[in-house]
Amino acid sequence: MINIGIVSYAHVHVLKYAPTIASHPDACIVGIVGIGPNKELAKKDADYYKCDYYENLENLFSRDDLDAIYVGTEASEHKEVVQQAAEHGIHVLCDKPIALNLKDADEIIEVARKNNIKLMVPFNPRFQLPMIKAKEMIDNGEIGDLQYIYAVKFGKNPQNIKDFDTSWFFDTKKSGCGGFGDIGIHAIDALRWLIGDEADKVYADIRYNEEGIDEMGIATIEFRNGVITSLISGWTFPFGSAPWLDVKFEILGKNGALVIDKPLYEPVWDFQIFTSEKAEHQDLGRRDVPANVDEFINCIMEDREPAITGEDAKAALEIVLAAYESAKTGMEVKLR
Amino acid sequence: MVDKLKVAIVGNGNICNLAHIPAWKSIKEAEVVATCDIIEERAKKACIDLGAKEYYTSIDDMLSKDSIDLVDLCVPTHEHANIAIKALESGKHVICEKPISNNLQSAKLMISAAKKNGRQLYIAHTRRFDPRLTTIKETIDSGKIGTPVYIRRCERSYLPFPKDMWHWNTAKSGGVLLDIGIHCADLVRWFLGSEPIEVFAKGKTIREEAKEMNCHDLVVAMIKFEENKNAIIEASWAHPKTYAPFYSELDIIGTKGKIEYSDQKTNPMVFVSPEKGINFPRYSPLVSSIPESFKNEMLHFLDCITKDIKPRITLEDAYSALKIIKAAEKSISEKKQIKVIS
Repeated sequence: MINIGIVSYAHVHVLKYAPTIASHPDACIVGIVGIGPNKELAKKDADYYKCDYYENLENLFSRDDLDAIYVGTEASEHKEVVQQAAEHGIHVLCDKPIALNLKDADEIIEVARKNNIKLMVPFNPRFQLPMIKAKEMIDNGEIGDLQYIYAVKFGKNPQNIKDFDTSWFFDTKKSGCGGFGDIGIHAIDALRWLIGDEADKVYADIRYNEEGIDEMGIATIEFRNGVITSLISGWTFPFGSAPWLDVKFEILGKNGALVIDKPLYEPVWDFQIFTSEKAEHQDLGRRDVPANVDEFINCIMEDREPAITGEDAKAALEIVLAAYESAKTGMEVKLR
Repeated sequence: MVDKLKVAIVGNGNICNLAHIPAWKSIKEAEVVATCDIIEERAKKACIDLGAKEYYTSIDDMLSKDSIDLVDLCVPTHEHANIAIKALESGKHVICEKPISNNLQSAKLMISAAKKNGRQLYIAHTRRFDPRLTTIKETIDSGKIGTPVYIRRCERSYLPFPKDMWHWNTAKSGGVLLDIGIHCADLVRWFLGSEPIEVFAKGKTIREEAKEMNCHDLVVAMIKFEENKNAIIEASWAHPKTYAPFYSELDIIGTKGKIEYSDQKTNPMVFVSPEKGINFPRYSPLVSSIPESFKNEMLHFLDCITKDIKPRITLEDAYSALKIIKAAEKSISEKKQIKVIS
């Protein structure tokens, strides 16, 4: 059994991570730390999950039965929390983005390495079944050499979430960025993973609202192996839409195309395969948070690297930061 | 009652046979009197098909006839300017397939030839007459989604022609960027209702035909518009045949809502019959718009001539779309963002 502590109810993702961890056959929640916003909810959940509630981090880390934590603080707090956890030998599932800048990301990666803890950053698309199938088909050469990917990742604006304080999302000193990066980083991780290479150049247009917060952006990212990708992401999914997210990956190889779509339509085809001979439609379904939690728990139990490492999270952050820089300068940014 | 306008169709290849001839056949307000193609067999076939009076293999012979009021140009893009100007100078009105031309200089010459000769020149951007897209434009204009701030338009196909067809020759067709991209460029500019400022584009060479002809068969371009609006367009000839012969997507984000339109998912024209099962008649093997678009387009241009109305697509519109494409072309070759010339 892996004993997990939940650190902070700042990030709305905790509302999915807490129940997922609590119901996991190999894990349980032993404590919740209510630092940051939504303290009352954190306290209430500690009652609900019959675990201890703490006002500060030290008290959680002083437990001798603690194995791991989920970090749902404001992004600006990640480094501090991960450093403390690492020094106590506690494994970390740290929500994205790993940090606000590359220097902090490096420090987080380094402290995890030095203390030999597992550090994982959850990115949902990686564990979605259509994505896994696409990755397999690409790696098996079933659609020929990859050429182009168009990716959509839209979410709703967090300020629309009821009874939950999301104000820090709109303070870039705490969040690092607005909707483009917040949502787009998931797709960026998926692009790196599908393509199996690093980004080379990034060009972006990012739209800021009157409060100076970006709501959405478009980026063209060229990878080192020549694959071109376009990404559109942000908090622009209309409030009225039933699903929370709009996700789409349109993948073109030399000999075929794949489409991963949101399961919005009837018949529900979330995965489509096109080759010169035939078109095939499938419904694979998807799972995100539970798969991330599974992976994190398994990497601890099996004592191996998690599927998404700190380096992966840093590489995704680097692309996001390059996109913001490109949008600012109006020029393509070359990475590294 | 005034006489019907007399029409001659010049260039009797694919788009003529698949789209223009069916459209003209369904129109009672005009009469096709002549066809013209450098390949006699094609001119003759089109002539018989339309029940026209005569066919020509020489444009000069045809233009010398006073019995023709309007020339419908379906020749390859690189021939547009030359023939359109000749026709205008001989006193004919001209409907010219999109794009206006493959370069800005000759497009300008076409526009001034129309003005100088007091004749009408219409560029057939058929998307603007497609009832699906005009409905979307009306929805935007109604304010339902607020101000549109972002549009994505992609048009994907598998170009079914061998590598020696003019489409694959960039010097003639302008490649997929111009031939297909012009639709996307015009649509996003029309929907956003703003002028383009800057373009950043990339191209890929994917199919063997494209490699052999040294051209791009997929391009993606990001366009900055005035009033903080953005678009991304994608044009492809490199998608698998099974992807749908022509496939397009349109995503529009407004300050108050969103419009999504995809040929595949939102097909209002599914025909079901016990014999043939489910049919998607929109998917003509070679034409991207539904037949109604071409008919609407021709009727509108006829109306413009007879009633002296401003066309739904002006020469300035056609020229602006070409400016976007030319900036994209330059962006691909210079590997940086390019200002759209004003």
